[in-house]
Amino acid sequence: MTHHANGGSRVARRTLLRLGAASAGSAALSASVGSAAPPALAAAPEFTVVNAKYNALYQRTGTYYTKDPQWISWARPRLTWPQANEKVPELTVVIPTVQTNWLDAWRKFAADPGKLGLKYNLQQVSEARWLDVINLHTHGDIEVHSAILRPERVDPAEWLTSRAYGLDRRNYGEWVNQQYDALIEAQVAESDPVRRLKLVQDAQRILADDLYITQLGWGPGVIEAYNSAAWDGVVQTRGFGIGSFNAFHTFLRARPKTARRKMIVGIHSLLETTSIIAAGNNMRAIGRMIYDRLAYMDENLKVIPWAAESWTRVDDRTWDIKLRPGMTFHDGKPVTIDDLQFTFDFMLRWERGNFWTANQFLQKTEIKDAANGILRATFKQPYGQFESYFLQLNVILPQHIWQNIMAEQGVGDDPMRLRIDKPIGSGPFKFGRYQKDAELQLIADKTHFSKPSVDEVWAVATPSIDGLLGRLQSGDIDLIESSDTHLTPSQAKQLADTSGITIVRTPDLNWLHGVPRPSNLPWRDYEFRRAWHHSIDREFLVKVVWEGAGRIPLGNTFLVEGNPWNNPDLPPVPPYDLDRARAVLKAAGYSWADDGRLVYPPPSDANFRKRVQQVCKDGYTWGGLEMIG
Amino acid sequence: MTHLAHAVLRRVVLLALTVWCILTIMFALFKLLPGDPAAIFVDNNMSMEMIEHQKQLWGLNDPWWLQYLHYLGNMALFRFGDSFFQNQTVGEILAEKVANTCAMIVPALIVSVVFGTILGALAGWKRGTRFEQTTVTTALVLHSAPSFFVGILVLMVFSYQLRWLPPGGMVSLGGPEGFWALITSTDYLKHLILPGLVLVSREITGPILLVRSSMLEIKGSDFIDILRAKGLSERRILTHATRNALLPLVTYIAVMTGLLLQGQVLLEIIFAWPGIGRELVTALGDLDYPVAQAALYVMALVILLLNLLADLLYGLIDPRSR
Repeated sequence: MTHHANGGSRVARRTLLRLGAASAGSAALSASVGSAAPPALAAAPEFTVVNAKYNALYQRTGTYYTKDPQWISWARPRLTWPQANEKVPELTVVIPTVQTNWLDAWRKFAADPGKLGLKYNLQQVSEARWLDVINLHTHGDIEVHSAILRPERVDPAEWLTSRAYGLDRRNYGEWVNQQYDALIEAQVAESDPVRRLKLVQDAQRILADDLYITQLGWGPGVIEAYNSAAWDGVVQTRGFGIGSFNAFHTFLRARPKTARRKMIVGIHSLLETTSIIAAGNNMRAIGRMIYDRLAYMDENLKVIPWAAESWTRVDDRTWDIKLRPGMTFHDGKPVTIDDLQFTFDFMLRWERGNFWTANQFLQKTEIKDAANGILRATFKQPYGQFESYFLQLNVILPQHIWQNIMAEQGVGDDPMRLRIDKPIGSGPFKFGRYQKDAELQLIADKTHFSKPSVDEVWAVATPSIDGLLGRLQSGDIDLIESSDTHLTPSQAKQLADTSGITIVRTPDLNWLHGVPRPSNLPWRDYEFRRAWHHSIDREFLVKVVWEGAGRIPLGNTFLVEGNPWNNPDLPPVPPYDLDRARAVLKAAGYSWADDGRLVYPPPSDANFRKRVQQVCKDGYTWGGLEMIG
Repeated sequence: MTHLAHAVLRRVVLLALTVWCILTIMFALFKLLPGDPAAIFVDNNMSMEMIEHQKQLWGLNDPWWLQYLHYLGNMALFRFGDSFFQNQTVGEILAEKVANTCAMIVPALIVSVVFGTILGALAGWKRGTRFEQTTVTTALVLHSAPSFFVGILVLMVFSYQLRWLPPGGMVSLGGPEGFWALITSTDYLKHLILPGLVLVSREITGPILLVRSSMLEIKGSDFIDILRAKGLSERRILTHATRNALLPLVTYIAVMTGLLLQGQVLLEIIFAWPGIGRELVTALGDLDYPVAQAALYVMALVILLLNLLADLLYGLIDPRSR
């Protein structure tokens, strides 16, 4: 079928969005607590939640969860009390075919628990299918995910909220720990960084304590290689490395050793679009080299002023943003405070994608001091993500180009359809020559305040890793763009023998985790979760699959050691110990069938029933799905 | 209506029916394809309502029969719409990518057919000689060698090690812009050598083997004896024989061209060539339905039209087949 731009009966977009505003991401944080009425889910009354507030997750428009027959057919048996001698069901893990490392690790993780009587069903599917099933929560028992770092993801809410907050659809295990959720709601509204850190660290403790997610490994490491015969002064940004367009310090500060001042970067794929509004991963990063963001981060992930020269907190809902003076757009027009205000107005009025998360809490802006370029931003509620999220994600659009663009291009109210063939921003690089799937030229704007030392950066599309390595060896490229491509130790070793190539390893903030499904059996039983955690051989992942380029996790947190928001005082990850796992299961009332399969405790086991009903560890309160009957 | 016109009309009707079948199967396949394009497109932070709304904009929430009717109508009129993700019309994307692929396959096709025909004709004519044995053996080896392997091998040797030739792409950084400026530049020729060589190494084997076996048949026919009895030189006889041996090649070239157009995904990846194969794979991976469907449709049409052309040409060249 073709694209029906205006197809069907078009529901007023903003009406829809307002309806949904209390759903995803941090937006869910503002969802009001419901009444104490019996919280049965209208679409499928057999499913109920402990706390009515969490109905919001299950009762949305669309065909999800309780309106999805697939979800129901999965959840119903898993929320039904097991019969006597009922075996623990097969555990399903869905892995995208492109993630061969995950599969290698999971073959081991699935084989070992065979000794505990657990049977796994590993399914390989296309990436599209994988995204589909995890979004619909029909992925089975364990959702596997790795970190892809972006500047705004250094903010703790990105992972703590999306992966574990009870009202977020990306909380794939539908874990609802009410104490955790209260902390998450508090941290996003806490504008004092010190107090926010405390809340974030407390939330991490609960996450680790209640054994929801399991970190399978911290890594893989950020290993890169560059042409040191031609370049000096590359910048290692923690978590990102030297060659990521997300952390582009190298492209500003590297010094040429030869007459060539043009840095050539190999990249898997180039821009999916040239519109910053419709940006996917690459344009999201490259777009912010062209359009100035308001704040950035230094190589130690500390927030630094960028297009915003400074900002002042007025109260916990209000900030004054001072624009850096003397900036110009790439077409020579000056950047003014009007441009900044226009950008916010445009985003609030039209945009519902990349920038929406950053601006969802923004209530209004007003120019306080035009002469000195000061804009006042007022938020709907106390806001804790101002520096690390709001200023990181937002850019400045030139008003003289964008002010009538929606009408001029006839895109209705959908800015995703805007066509921007030649982006003009005020960033350190101008958009130069571009040939789709072939090359992109970024020309340094020598008048930019960051004073780029290179003259040009060329990104060359090279779809295969062999091609990238070969080009690096032959000197055709200077480095590999590393947002999603890092070298394995063996690849690094191969390159290390090449003269003029230097290998660099940057401390990483990566992780690979598994998210079981505490809302369903058998995961509702804390003791089962505890035993299962002992069945994961993390050393295998780190030493064999990642060839040593990783770390054994010190705690079950997304904010790994080295992340400024890390809690260094978390309970240790349960070690790999199948005997201990078996002992835990046995003590919890589990038994084994003649064929060796694990059997649920008997229905008469009051402790088992209590654990399954309370889901969370003692001391915490479950708020999510209840057992049926 | 003449017999020929009737035959042509029949072919065209059959072609239309085949196109409809292909379109319907394609529609069904895409509907059955696992995955939701919205899942690829959306930002992780988007709510489910936003995703639903985007699907509505794309028409994915319409009833299937309405989608089918829209689809058939649009495909019939070559209205491919916009890519879900690329902020470009599908027509623009395909035109650029098909042209790029043609820039790789057409020269390779010409070289393969010309030299393959000559080598095949000589091999057939010189039956039992060392030349025939060497040609046939080499052709079989080349035919069996996987092109991705040969591609990586030639890249390693000629590009990464010897650095004689560029490692990929259609043109050097900052090279000529615009399709015509590009394909008339020496830079493009340099970039074409390696992928062209790999393509020729495989595609030349078809004409060699086909013309050789055809030649063997013709070599034993009566008219060769008559030509020889008339006292014509061996070279003249070979020319006459080759002309007759070319008949099966006409169909083969048509089919080969169609297959070449669609089947260069691996080479396009290895040599970073921005062609239609890479585009199709990316579109399928991203569930960019408009691009993927239009690309498959164009490929199918090209094959069908070339087959039709081959049929018609065959009728013109060989009166016996009418």
